Amino acid sequence: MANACFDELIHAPNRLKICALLAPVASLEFVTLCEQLGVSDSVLSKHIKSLVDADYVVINKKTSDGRQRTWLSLSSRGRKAFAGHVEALREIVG
Amino acid sequence: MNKAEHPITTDAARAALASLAAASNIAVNSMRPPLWLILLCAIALGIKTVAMGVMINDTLWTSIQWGSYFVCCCCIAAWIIRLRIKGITLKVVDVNITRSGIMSALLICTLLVLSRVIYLQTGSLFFPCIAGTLNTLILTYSLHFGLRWNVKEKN
Repeated sequence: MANACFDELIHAPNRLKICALLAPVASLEFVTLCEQLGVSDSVLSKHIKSLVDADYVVINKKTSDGRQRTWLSLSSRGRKAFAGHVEALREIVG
Repeated sequence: MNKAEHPITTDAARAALASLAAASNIAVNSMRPPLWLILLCAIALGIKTVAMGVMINDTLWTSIQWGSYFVCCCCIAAWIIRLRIKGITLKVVDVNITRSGIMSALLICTLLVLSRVIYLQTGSLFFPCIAGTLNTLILTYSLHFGLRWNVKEKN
């Protein structure tokens, strides 16, 4: 079980959902994440940038069939922070 | 963390956990294989269980066993490729390592082995057929609801 640690950066509603959607998979394509969250590209880009700056999310750009696909994944630091944040939320709820 | 140190209220934390659960459900629904693929894979496993039990000195049953094994592998490959096209890459290492996932896998393996052992002892086709049907049902149920179990176990 992860150590409970409340993380202000992750707690923002959209960033919390981004982490929850990235946690069970190895990586998710940017477009797919947009659709699942129901937000625009620019809103998602803004949130992803702050998660990337904190080393929580890793961006991997690959080209297939002549088009560039952007894959996002949680880093090990990000997974640890997310697990700790969820644990902190559970502790608060009790 | 004691109550005085909590940066948010209990209601806010409860709302955040509810939004996490909703996001997890979206993730699970997007990862779940389609029903036709689940059924194809489960039926192939059922046939493999029967064939594995009765294949001794029988080339036809041995071929059926390998054929159904090949179909199972194709179903898994189709699921992974389908997800990849949808923009999802699975975590292969811990995709289903939960208590219920391990229990299902053990049960399927046990029925595979029992199908063979009991056929060798009795020579009756009855038990391999029962084991095959059970394995079909277990795999259908596990693949359809398994990811949801994982989320519930983790939450």
